[in-house]
Amino acid sequence: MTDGESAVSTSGDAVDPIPDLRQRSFFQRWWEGFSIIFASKTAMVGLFLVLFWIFVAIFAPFLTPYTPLEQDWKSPNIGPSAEHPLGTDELGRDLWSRLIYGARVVLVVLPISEDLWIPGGTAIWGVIVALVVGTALGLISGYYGGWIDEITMRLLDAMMAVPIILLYLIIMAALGASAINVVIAMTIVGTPGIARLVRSLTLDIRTREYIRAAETRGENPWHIMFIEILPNARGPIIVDAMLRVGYAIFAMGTLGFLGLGIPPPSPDWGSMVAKGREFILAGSPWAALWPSVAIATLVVGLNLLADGLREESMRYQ
Amino acid sequence: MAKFIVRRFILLLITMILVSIAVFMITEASPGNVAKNVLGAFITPEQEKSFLAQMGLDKPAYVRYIYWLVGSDWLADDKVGMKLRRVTTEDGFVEWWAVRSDGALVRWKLEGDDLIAVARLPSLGVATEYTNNGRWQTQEDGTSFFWGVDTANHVVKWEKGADTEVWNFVIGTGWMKASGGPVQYIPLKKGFIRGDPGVSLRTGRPVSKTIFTRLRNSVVLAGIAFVLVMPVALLLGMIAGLKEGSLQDRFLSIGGMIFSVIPEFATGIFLILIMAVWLQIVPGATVFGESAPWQRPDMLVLPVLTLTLIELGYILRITRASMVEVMKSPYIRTAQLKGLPYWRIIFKHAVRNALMAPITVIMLHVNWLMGGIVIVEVVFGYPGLGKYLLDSAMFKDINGLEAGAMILVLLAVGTQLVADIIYTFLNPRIRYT
Amino acid sequence: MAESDERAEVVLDVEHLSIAYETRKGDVEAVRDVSFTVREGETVGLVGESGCGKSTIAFGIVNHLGPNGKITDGQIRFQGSALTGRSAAELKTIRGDRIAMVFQDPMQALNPSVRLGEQLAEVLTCHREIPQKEAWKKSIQMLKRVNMPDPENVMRRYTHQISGGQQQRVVIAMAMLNNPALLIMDEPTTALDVTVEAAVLDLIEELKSDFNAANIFITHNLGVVARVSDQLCVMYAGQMVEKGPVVDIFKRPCHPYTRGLMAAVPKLGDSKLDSMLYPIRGRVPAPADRPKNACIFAPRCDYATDRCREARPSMIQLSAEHAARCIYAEEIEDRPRTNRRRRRVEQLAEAKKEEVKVQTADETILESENLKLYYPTESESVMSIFGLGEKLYVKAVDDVSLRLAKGRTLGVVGESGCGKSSLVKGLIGLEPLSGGKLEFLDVEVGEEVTHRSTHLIKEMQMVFQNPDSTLNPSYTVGKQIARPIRRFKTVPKGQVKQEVVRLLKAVRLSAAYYDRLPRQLSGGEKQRVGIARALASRPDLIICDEPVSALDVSVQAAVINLLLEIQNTFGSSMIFIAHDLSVVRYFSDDIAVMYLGRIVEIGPAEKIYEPPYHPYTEALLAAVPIADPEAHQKEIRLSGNVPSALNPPKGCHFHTRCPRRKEMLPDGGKICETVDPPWRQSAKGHRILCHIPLEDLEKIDPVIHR
Ligand SMILES: Nc1ncnc2c1ncn2[C@@H]1O[C@H](COP(=O)(O)OP(=O)(O)OP(=O)(O)O)[C@@H](O)[C@H]1O
Ligand code: SF4
Ligand code: SF4
Ligand SMILES: [Mg+2]
Repeated sequence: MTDGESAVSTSGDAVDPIPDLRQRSFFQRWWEGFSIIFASKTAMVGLFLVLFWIFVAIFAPFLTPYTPLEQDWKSPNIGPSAEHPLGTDELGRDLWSRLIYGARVVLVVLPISEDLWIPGGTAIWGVIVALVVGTALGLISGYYGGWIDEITMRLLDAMMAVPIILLYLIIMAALGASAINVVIAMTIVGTPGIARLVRSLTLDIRTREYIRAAETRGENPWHIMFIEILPNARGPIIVDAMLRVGYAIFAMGTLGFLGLGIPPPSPDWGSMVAKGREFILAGSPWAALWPSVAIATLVVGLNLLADGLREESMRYQ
Repeated sequence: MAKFIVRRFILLLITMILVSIAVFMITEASPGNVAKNVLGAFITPEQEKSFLAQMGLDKPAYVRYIYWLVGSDWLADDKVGMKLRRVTTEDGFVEWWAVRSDGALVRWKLEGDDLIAVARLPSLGVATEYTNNGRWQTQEDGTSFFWGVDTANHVVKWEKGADTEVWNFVIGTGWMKASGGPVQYIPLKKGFIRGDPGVSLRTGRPVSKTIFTRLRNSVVLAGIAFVLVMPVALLLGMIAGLKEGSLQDRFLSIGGMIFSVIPEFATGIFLILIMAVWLQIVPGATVFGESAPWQRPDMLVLPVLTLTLIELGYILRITRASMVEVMKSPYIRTAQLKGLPYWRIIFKHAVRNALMAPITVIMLHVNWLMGGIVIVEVVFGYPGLGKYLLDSAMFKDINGLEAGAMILVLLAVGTQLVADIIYTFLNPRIRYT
Repeated sequence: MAESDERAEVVLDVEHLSIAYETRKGDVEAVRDVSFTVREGETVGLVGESGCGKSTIAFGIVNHLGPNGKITDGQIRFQGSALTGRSAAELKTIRGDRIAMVFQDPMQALNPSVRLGEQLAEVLTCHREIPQKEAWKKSIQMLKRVNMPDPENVMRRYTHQISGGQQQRVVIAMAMLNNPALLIMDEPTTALDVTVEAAVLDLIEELKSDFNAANIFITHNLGVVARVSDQLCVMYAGQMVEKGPVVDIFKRPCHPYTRGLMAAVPKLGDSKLDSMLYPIRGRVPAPADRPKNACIFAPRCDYATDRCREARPSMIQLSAEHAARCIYAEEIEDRPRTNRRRRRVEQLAEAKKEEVKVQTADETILESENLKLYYPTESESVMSIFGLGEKLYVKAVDDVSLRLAKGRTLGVVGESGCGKSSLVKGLIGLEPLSGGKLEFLDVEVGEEVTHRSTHLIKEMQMVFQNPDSTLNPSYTVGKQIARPIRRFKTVPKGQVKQEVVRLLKAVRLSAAYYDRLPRQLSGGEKQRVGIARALASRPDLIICDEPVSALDVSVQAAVINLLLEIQNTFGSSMIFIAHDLSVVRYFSDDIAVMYLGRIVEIGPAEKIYEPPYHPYTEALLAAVPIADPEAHQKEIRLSGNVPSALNPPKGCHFHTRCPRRKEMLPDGGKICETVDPPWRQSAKGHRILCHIPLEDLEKIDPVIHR
């Protein structure tokens, strides 16, 4: 190696001039990426809707004098009024409080039992857990291939062939209704899709030359999967996860509506609609209307945001 | 291609087996609830135990699964020593009888220590009763026992002097305590793969009676929606895709997105509020009674509309994306540079390629659509398969749920197969290799 | 040729054309002030590196720039009338009728779900009042004209059912159907193999003389342009820097960029022992970074002075037709170089010559015997689902025996799909061997890399082809080079960073690259980082899988020089894979020619390029485009396509396409169809796998005369 050293020193001055590349900090780049939201009107509208619900969810206790369970039996099923800005439900509970506490369960807290909860909404946890499980499965079966891949994929195929609603019915009927079980159900339902996505990304990235370089170094498979492949798959995974949050909220609402979600009396948009529906034809539409509006605006907001972002980032390519 | 179809069939089988096992695990997780669901919350432990034994629910899950899948009569045949036959009565109930060597049908009951045989000819419905103590057999410990068919579709084992207390639940009368009951039950079933989905725990009627009406109703609903949606959505999607970035495109694609992401129950509620409560043009709920859905088209409007809106947006957006991609492809560029007229480029070169992706995606979407149908049926109280399924699941009515689930899986995998075949038909790259 | 008929009619006249694309960061001027004319029966070649605006000009002419492109200045006159500012409807009647285009990737350019016949016939029916039947007949005639075998049948097929070369013939036929006055071809042969490319280029020449159309031929390959064009336009960063008759330019290039391009590629037959490659430093600037009021080439020019940075030079007329955009164009040969870089390359050449003699140690580092590598594939039958169907194999490497001596370079050539990359994967242990013996450093290494011992792994490393995928986009350059150092513990922990910087310097990158992410590097720079990473474990054997074929010409030379330098200083052995015969010849000491998984000829480099040849080698050599319009090659063209490796021909794999067996073997070479050919030993270490006796092979004329 000694002459290697000399070769370097004699020609050290002859290295290529470095083109002037402005080195941008992480935050500058992040901000640049973020700022394209402002270029898109749809993304702005979406962002506004989403931020609104995040805001009320976080600050729910400060935004209403009532708790979501407080019953005012003297005024059930009334329309919007001064005391109750959105009206009350059939038990005289304040709809606004139930709505914003409902948002809390979706977006910021996961109730584990009566008085224990952990941060991160039910929908968020549903996506995260599915993401972790699906990513691991997809990576392993995509990277190893062969019979491991064959078996995992056939099983996941079978799961994907089952109508989603049926899967939910079976899981929730077997486990019983609770927030944790909703997360478990969402995980089971979401995992196959994520695993497939990650697997196809892995199959693609696996053929890249830097992976071959790692293999020629004799790196072990875990290093290759988690250090070399995974970081390069994160882009599409994150986009997918964003869309899945929207879908998770959708699913949570649907489960609640079917009576398979978070059990009453805790405020859940879906079950509020289901209960309120009974009183529509009796002349008090409010209890069904507001939670429907809530879930619609939140889901639409998320999708507008994701759509606008995607469109804007593809615009000049 | 043949290989492909075989693969799909294997997948279908695996899926159905997995799903049916999963459904069985529901009751495994909470067997007591089934009894409570059927009999109400106030039953005593003895009553529950007796009920479970009669239903065969005290047996291990795998035994029940096997009974459900392939039936139990072949096993019971041996015990009784006679052939068993299933007959359906005029009012739709199922009865099991043993076949005597002369062709007559027999069942037994126990009165005191006497074994009474009830016999009738298969043709005439009139039954005759006679004492049949000659059939008692002796066990090693000296007691007498007898395997036979009881009057409630079990093969049972009676033991003389065992004097087991049983609780019988008779619809209309309530609980009846009886002594001298059997010591073992084998509920008689033909088994799912032999065409018998069993009796619903919820209604006491054979599942097969109700489920086909329900299926028909759902198919009517989904079919109308599908026929309305497809042409409109494909057309609008292609228009939006061709005019990418224009005002029309933005309107269509954002509008479509909004409709497709709002949960069906919310859309349903909005429609009810607008069309039924406010404008009062159509009824907000569906009550058909005995008549078929198509006899009350006004009641179909809202459920169909809800489904249509959701699917419309979805298909529109898929078609649009596909069209946009195709219009950017090099072969369209070639066509343009060949100087072809605009319409020829669109219809000859773009449409076919642009339709390939949506067709498969739409068929895969049937999975999703089923969820939508369940919700729509619940929102509007529509008596379809979805609602049946949900009710069965809530009730933990295994037989009902199993049958519904199997139909859904069959439909889902079946549409995927159809999608694959259409795809191969549209795509010569697959057809000719 | 062009000079002979000066009065041929001008078909296309482009004057001061400028084209810009709107982007998020404002307008980007892709083409600036380009003028040229194309005459009837004449081919104008547009050459330049990627991103120079060649395709933009082509699309500008037919006004098909997409939603964000626009012509900002200039005139395009076609047959006397202006093309700019015409309405879409008028353009439509001209496109496909009077002006036709052929693109790079025929697979993409043809509609996958419409039968080829319909795609052909519609060109006629849309522009003329021609009944469908007649259009069909004419299309068949045209297919015959482009030498398509079995044209009636092809008309009924779909794109994917014919091979790449045939697809390109269909596209060309489609373009010629209306007898266009102007034919624009954008890299029509870049996606094809050399032997297929040669046949397509022949076809283009033939059609030119038959139809007398004016042609524009766009390519980045100097060899191709030398073969087909009459006039040449050299593009650089959106500007035309030199134009003139092709012979003049190759004889006397006057713009420093053109000179640079020509010095950067090896001529066929050049060897590292007797010639040098001179890279152009730096890289093509992105449109936004181009100098505004200076010579656009100044940052990379070896002759640049302060005068060059004062204003944009204009075209300087050197002779009636030859012009160059350089203020020193007329005297460029005698100008002093203002950059000392070239001196360094020369020093290197000196140093190398001395070392040549040392390289004769005859120690074997790698030896393989009857190496086999098969890929199992699933058969179409239903039974295969249950694992019962018969097993099929793609025989990617079949019976390969070779030997590599320490400090030497073995080149491997062959067309795509012949098994070059599979061979490498087998050697390095990325794929399991299906048979044969492999020894590396006198240790038997039949097993996969995961089972090899670390010290063997570190002695064999690899440099990859594609600069865009050779580095992991998620990690900095420094981290990626450090990884093998850490893994193989080549230096103590504390010194890793120093070692990385040292390696960066060894590949001529400054320490500032340590924290760069791959996407901030140019192709050449990425390739160098890839080399540094391979060097990090100080391997004895470096395998280079097409290390330069994805790089721009001007950068290729730098990477080749770097590899040579590394070999000299570290004394490593190399296996060098490429499909470009000139590059392989330049770089290697020994060469193996592969066809369908087998080595058909192997020996010292200079022996391969002169008789006796294996018939396949001969055909390959006859097909290489040579960057010299006056060189003469024998015209040997292979018929048909490379057969599938799933089911290779019996006997000699080459017998389906071999042009020699009929004339040189008794009985029309029947023996080749059934019996595996024997190895014929020529000079020391030179073997040929063929039934033709050596004496006969020796009588064959050399392929190339100058
Ligand atoms: N649609 C577009 N939008 C913005 N910039 C573009 C667009 N198309 C091309 N460019 C830019 O214009 C310049 C010229 O591109 P062009 O494709 O004409 O080069 P080229 O010489 O044909 O390259 P290649 O050899 O890679 O085909 C490049 O810098 C490219 O990035
Ligand atoms: S004008 Fe100057 S910088 Fe430009 S090419 Fe000529 S010598 Fe080089
Ligand atoms: S063995 Fe026969 S077919 Fe093969 S190269 Fe020699 S002459 Fe040609
Ligand atoms: Mg180009």
